[in-house]
Amino acid sequence: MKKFIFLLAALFICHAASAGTLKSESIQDQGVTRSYYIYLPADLPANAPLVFILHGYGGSAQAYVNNSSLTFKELAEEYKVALCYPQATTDPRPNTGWNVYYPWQIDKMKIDDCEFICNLAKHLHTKYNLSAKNTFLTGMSNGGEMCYLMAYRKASEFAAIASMAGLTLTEMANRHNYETPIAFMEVHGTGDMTSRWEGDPINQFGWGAYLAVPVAVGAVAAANKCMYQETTELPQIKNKVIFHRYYGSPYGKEVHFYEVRNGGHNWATDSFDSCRVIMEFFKKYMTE
Amino acid sequence: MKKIFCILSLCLLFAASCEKGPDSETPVKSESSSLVVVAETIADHNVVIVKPSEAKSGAPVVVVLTDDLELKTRAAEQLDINFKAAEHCLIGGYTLCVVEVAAGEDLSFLTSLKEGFPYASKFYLLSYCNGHAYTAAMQMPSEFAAFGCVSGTIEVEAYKANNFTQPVSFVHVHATENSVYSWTGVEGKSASVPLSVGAIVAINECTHYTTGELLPRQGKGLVSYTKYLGGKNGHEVVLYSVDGKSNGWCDAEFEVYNQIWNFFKNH
Repeated sequence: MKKFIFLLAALFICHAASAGTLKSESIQDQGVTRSYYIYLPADLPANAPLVFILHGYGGSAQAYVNNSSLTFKELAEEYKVALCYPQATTDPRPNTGWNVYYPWQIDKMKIDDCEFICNLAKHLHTKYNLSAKNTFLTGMSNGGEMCYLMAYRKASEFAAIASMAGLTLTEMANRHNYETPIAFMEVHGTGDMTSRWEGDPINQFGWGAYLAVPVAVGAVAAANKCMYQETTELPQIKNKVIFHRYYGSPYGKEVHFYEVRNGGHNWATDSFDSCRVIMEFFKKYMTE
Repeated sequence: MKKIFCILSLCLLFAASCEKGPDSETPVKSESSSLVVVAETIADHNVVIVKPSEAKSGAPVVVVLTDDLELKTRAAEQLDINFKAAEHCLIGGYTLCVVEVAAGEDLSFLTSLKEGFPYASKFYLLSYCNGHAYTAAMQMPSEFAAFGCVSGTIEVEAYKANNFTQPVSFVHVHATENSVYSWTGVEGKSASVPLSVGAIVAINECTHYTTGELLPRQGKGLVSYTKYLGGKNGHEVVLYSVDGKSNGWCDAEFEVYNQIWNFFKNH
């Protein structure tokens, strides 16, 4: 009953903001029923792009659908892209979370969420006639970690990936290499006390050892062989935002790094229009 | 003119005096030891070697690559006496081997050049005002115990043609306003400094970093450093960022030679 009321509320909010359609659906994957929301803007053309938006640890797809500070649905109408908000399963802790090799997930969490997202993408491409080559991924925190893990493991499945406050767990770096260049974006607050800018090499804070954020972003830039950089400061709204653009990749894949000075563990929507910046970044990599 | 200045600096700081012409060997006395300066041709390259008169077995060799193409002809008259600097640089009994290399040149000759130093147990490679050290780190990572680059970055064409495949220890010194090898990169020529260093950090799988500043010299620019740690097999990367426009050793700003030699010594 509670779920039904939430869905009704979500549908109402969505309808008030736009003329698109929000649906709650599910698929079977790896023997588990996986739920997700899909948002289809009005007059969505055939072969339209698809953007996945992943929630954080302990969070839910529904909360993201209802979060009015995340303007993705309005932007979806403007950019004519479909949105998918998948729901993570419950991990061994137990909390809802994507399997990104947190210490309590290793060897205990059997779900391969990278496979799930890719399978879901294929399902949606077929079901809604969406573009396989214009499929994008973004996510925050635990969802951001998924962005890095997908960049390691499934880069060829996405045209571009944008992580918000995401991390590269040392376990990821130990297990995988960046095999395929990928257009990548990271937004991260230097004052983020959850996913620390300076990294946590000895797992002092419990999420598992992870790389310093500039080192993690630099690894993607190195994999892309980005040659040059430019640094600009965005017009200040709240926290100062420094934009580092790494470009000149022989593969044409840039890395964009937004350093939010003293910013915390969030989407940084109070400091710049991060959702639009993500969508603009994705648009740069949309192909016919 | 800049090249002349560069090589003069190099020789002043690395070499002792030599009053004879190329292909000669001149012992030079100092209070504590004597140095030998030799100008010769090895592996078809003009080379100036500065070493203790009695090179001990196992003494490491620092190969310095410069793109100065007149090294041999100028070596004789331009290697001035500077015992303190030479001794300073030769702490620990290093042999210095200064080699002129053209831009974009195939570096495979370095293997045969090393054969000219049969007593050496370790070789280090340092590129000065060019990015050859990065190219060598891609092409021959196992040939040198550590690499260094002063006022150069990854050469764009070399980066397109090669990949970093093995971890290496690397030290980089660069002025933030260097107009030849721009900090942010020069399109078609050289990569940015952070991205060059970042490529080594990535292949080393460094996990984190520490930063700090050196005590500033009066009237000189700030020198800050970033040490990237946690790399495979203890390989580390250090970047010295020097406020200023130098396209040289940045030795007016800090004890660059000490820092580089100490880095090499640790690897």
